[in-house]
Amino acid sequence: MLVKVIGTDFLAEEDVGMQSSFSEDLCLESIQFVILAEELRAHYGEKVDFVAWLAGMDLDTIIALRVGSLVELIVDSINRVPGV
Amino acid sequence: MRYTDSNRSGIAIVGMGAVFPGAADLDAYWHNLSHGVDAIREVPAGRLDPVFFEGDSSALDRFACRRGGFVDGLALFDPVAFGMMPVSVAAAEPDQLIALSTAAAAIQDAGGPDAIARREKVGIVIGRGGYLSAGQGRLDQLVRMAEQLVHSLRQLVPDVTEDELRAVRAEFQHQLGPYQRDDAVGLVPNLVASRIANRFDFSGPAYTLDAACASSLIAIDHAVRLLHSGDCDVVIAGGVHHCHDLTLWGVFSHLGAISASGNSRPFSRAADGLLIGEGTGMMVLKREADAERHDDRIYAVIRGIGMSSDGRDSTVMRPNVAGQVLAVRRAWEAARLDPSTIGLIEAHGTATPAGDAAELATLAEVFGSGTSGSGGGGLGPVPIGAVKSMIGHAMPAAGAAGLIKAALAIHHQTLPPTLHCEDPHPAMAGTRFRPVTQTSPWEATRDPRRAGVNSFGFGGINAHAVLEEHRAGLSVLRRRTPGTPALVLCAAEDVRSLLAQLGEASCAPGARGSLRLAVVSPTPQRMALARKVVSRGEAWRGRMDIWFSPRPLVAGGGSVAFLFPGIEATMPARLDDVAARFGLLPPEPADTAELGRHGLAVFALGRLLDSALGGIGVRPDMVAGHSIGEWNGMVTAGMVRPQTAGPFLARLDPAAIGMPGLVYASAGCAAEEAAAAIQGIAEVVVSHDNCPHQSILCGTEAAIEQALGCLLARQVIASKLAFRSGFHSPMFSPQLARVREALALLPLEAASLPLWSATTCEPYPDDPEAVRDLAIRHLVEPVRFRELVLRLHEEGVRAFVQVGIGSLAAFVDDTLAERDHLAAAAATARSQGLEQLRRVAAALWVEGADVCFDRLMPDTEVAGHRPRLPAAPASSIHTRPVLLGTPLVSLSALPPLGRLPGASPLPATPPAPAPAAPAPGAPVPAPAPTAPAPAAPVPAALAPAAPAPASPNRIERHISVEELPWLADHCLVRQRDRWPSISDRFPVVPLTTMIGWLVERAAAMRPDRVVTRVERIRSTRWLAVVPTADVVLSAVTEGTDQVRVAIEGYSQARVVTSERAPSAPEVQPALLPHEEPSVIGAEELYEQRWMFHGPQFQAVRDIQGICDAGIRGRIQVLDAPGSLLDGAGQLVGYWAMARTGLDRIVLPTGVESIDLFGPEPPVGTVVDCTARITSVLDTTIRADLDLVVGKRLFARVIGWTEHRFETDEVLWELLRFPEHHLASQAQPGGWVLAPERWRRTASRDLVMRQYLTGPEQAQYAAFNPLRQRQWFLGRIAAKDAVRDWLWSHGAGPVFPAEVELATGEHGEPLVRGSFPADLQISLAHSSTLAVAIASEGASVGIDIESVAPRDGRFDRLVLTPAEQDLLPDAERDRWVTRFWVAKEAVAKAARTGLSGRPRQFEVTAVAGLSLCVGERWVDTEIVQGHDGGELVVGWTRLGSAASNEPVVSLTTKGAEVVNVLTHL
Repeated sequence: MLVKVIGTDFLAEEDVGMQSSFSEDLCLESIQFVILAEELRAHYGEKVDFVAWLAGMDLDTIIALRVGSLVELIVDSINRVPGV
Repeated sequence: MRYTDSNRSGIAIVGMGAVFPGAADLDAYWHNLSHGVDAIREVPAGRLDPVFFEGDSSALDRFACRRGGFVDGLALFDPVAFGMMPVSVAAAEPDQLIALSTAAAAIQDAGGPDAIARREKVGIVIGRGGYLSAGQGRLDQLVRMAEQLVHSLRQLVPDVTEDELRAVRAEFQHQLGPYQRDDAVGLVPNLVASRIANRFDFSGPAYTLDAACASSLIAIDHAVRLLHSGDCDVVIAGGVHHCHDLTLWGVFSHLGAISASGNSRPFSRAADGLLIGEGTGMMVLKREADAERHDDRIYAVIRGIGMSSDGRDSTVMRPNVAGQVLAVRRAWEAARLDPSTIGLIEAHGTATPAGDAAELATLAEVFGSGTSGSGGGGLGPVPIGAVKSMIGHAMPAAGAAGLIKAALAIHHQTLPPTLHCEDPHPAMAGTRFRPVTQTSPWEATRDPRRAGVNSFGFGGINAHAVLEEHRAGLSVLRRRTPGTPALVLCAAEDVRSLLAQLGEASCAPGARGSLRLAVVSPTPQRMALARKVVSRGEAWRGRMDIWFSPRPLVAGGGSVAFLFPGIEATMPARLDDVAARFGLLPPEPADTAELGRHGLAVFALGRLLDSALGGIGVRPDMVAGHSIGEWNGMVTAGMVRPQTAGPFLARLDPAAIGMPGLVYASAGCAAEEAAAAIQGIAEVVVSHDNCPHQSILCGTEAAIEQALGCLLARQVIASKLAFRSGFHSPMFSPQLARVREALALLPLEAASLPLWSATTCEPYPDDPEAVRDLAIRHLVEPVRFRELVLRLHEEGVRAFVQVGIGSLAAFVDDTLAERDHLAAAAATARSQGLEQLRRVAAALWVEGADVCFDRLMPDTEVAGHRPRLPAAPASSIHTRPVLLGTPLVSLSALPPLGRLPGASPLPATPPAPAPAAPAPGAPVPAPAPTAPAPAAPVPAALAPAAPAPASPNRIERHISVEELPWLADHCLVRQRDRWPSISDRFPVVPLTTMIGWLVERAAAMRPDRVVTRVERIRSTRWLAVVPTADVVLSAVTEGTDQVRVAIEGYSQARVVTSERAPSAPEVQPALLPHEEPSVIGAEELYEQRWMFHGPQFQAVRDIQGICDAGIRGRIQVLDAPGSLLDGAGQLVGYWAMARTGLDRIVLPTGVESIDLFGPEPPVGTVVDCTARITSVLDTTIRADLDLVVGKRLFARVIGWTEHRFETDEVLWELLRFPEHHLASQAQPGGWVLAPERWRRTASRDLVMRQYLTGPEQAQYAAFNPLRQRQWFLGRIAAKDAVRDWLWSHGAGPVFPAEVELATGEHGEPLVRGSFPADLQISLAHSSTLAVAIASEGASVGIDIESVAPRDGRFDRLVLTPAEQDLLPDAERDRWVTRFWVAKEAVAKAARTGLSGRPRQFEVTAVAGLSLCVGERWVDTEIVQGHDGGELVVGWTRLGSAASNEPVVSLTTKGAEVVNVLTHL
């Protein structure tokens, strides 16, 4: 999915890890965050509310965001029992 | 310190910089060291006053020894290279400037600021003594001495007045230089380190420390610790000492430590003391392993440093052996090396007998005695040196001098000699050491070459450093060769050959081939990835700093577009390095708090990057901008000049134009979705369609909050933005009037490149009015950036370069997605400027664009070892010697005290009977440096020393145009040919001619000497010759070499003479940075009247080049005196006119100094002139000029000052072509409106002389100031009304002076002049506006009156009952005023005036905005005054006395024309 957003395929296998920072290492522009959010919504549907998650952070936090944090969000969101 | 095993690796010295006596830089220092140059010399004049040197005095303030080490003439500083204004250098602390330039040289030596480390990990530690430095000394004089002086004079001179004392204090402080408040702050001592951190943006610790003469080594120790702890990756460490202050000399002299014989002979049997030296040494230090990894040149490695203090044995004068031994031992222990392996000791070696003896004892104790040991590989005695024998004792910088010497010795494998030690101290024999008497190779031994450096300070602070050569074989890591380049560029015709090249890594900017690959800051990983990228064969644009394009877009015919960002939240740009590299002004720190300033910063950034891109050969095919970025686009497209666009943008500040707070929010969705989301919310609109995934909303605070909620509900990322303006929303509409006003003033030119509008998604129109209209629409309509990008792509744009900080490149990527394109940002907030520029260059080059990489490379970019660059860019024009001294102040310019002439503003005490005057013409003695012997004040003894002003020094001179006919070609006001009155042309003696006269007077006073300098030239007012003038030239000699001269009341200067002329320096012709050809040539300069000068002053032969930094041209010496310098001034004047938007008219008012290197070249000589602009302020422009004949400098002018007159576009045209232009605005109704276009009297005066003839000027001069203003505006309006009438009836040029006005019997104005028509005029004025109307035959009337609330009583008094019935209810105040104005206008036309009976002139009908009074129709209009209030203008309708127009009801027919005053 990241590759789709960033647009290069074999970069992912080599460089991206849980510690990779979205802005520093992957050079994600703010628009690409939006595209990522869209991809997440397309893939996970309502289960992963990336937007609400981002809305709770200030700019500095977003800039320092690492791939691992997003993975945690996704895992948490999917594991959450619906309706509870 | 003891280093742990993990720190076993030492500290590498990877760069050095030095300024020591006899050596301006590191190369010179080594040259002197290796050639045994003795740099000791006598105290230079200007450093320490000769009065302090006396053979046998034991006084604390008298010294016997006149010798030492000095850097005078070598310590140079280029303020511009370090982002300082040249003027600020005089008041700066000299050691800070030298430390800064030396640190810069060391950094450059280490590979430049980009190469050395991340800036946040660079620290600075500098040893600096707490002595009274030159700058602080000058400040002390300014603050304390000035008062002390006055205090003493008040006590000792009974007749002295407070006025005189004020004059004394003022002159004393004036002599000390131009101090400003901020300058004092700049003298805080620790700034010596902070300045470096600031300049290079290093954010590791930066501080100074003081450990007396051990300071430098202790600073190095701190550096070592910072590196080992990991707090820093690079530390710049060293010592600085430039303090030949009397107090320091006093201390050492009093101690008897200074050599009586004036020689520095360390370890010689004859050593008799030290000589005070000075200097600065800086080292760039890194962990050894890092230096190896970066493939740095390593001069030497610091293995260990030991420190100690003498403890209870500490005394100031007696060095303590035990303490020194402790320090030396600790160092070798820290290094974990055997002291016996030492190969060279650089000793402290002060050359005081006690110091040398103690040091030799220390050396014997630590390193053993006898020369049979195994030291230095067991081969005989160990060399000992002391650099103090060559440069003296540089005090806190002494350790740096020694350490740099030892590091260079290791690096060059050479043992430099020590001087004056042919007969060594007897104790030398008891050590293993022998002085090096001549330069010799340092032979290799089993161990690496090792050196110890001693530094022992006052008070018993001891330090020793162990240095070792860096051997590649010793390092853990393999050294890579050659050095890592900043950029790899490969080109080939096919993938296979490209891959083959990559294997060899032999790429170079010259590489040819259509298939290109670029890698910035290549690492092995990147190069591996690059190989993959190439073999895969698909485009790769910038990720991991790799660029590859299998089908180059630009080479394939794609266009390049520059996109200028507008205001975005992220701003910090790191472009200082770009500015420095391309010779541009560094960007000011952006103040993003205020939108106007933020906008200016964005604009400036765009200009800077645009120039830098041009500098590497990148030029756009078309231009576009995002929001206010379009203004930058206009400049690049050639439609607007940068000088006018900046001020315009500043005026757009919503705060300044009273904008209500509107808020923006970004929405992470397409504009359509955003629009859908906010449907139904009032007061919010989509203001920007940036790209498919971003749009911007604009609205009120509440509306935006509501919109954010709606967006969040749709799972759209949205957030409020940090700035407010309201641009691009209809809510900005109320402000448009103000913007229009500013726009109307903005001169527009034809575009040289297409500029695409984001409002229409089409190119901007050609017609200036259409451009202005679009610029207005742009502010209230949405930014359609996404559509624009698609349009540009359709137009063939393939490479989009974002010229500024922002997200435009990302918008482009998002919009064009899979379509073939390149989007690159020329600057980002996260990268250093040059580094990012390198990326853009790489990206474009890969697409086939021609890019010149030369200026993008680190300076040192060549294979293998880096070449060393000169420490100081001595070639730079701004480079000046640092002012090192704290000289005594001379007050000889002042008249003797107690007998000021009665001209003093306060009543002075009556002068005492004059004593017998000394012989006329006797030189005025300078105040004696030695006070009169008696302790009690003896005023009578003082008085006779003061001569009365000598009358022969005053010469009267009569000036007239008849006698000096060339004055007719130096007239400020233009008149018709053969205009009878020369006074009306306002002939003025040029400042440069006055300078010539002053110099002549001075030369006559000193016939045996040559004038070498003219300084402090000030002109206080125009010396106008109307029609003649009588002046007094006065001259007062000061000492043997100076004469103070004045044309009393007009100008003054100080002339410095010398026995012979200095030799003229040779000057290499040089271009100015970014010089462009001048748009106009020398002929147009006069034909198009940029200059007012007539033929005898038309000295400019050609203009060779012009740029923001200055102008270059050639001047021919003409007959008219002063024409050469006047021609030089004309170049500066032209620069001001061509390069500033408003206030372009300038006239010279003063010069700081002119150094003359020979007599004025003969008439006909062509002189090269280069003028460099040093400051552009609101009211002045300053420049430095070089006048060169052949290749020899003839004159150097510093601080040429031009006064700027307020000039808007109207005045600019008017003053050049007064016969074709009005100062007023001609109105469609046939009348003219004259606004006051100036605030300063100087500008009004200039226009006044243009408009008024001699008799009128006399009339004007008789009025009080308020009346003057109104009356003058009325004259302008009246004369302009006549001229406008004449022009519209086919007349040719008419000058204002040709229209004469007289007053009729009823006070009405009458027109006189040689016109074929019988013209009637009427005029009226109101505060800062005047109106006038002219017609032929029929009488006319005009009036102007403010609209103000008036009560019913006024109505009843003024209006007849019929009129009151006629008066409309709506807009009552306006209508009452209209009625009044109509009556008055008709009364004026009737030549009677209202005569206190307003009801006599009755308004009988109203049609639209016209009123009928009696038989005359009066048209009215509302205009806006300067204060924003409304005024009604009413004028009698021309052409027909009676109206055919049907009378209609009061519903207005059309919109009123509101005249917006465009300026002031």
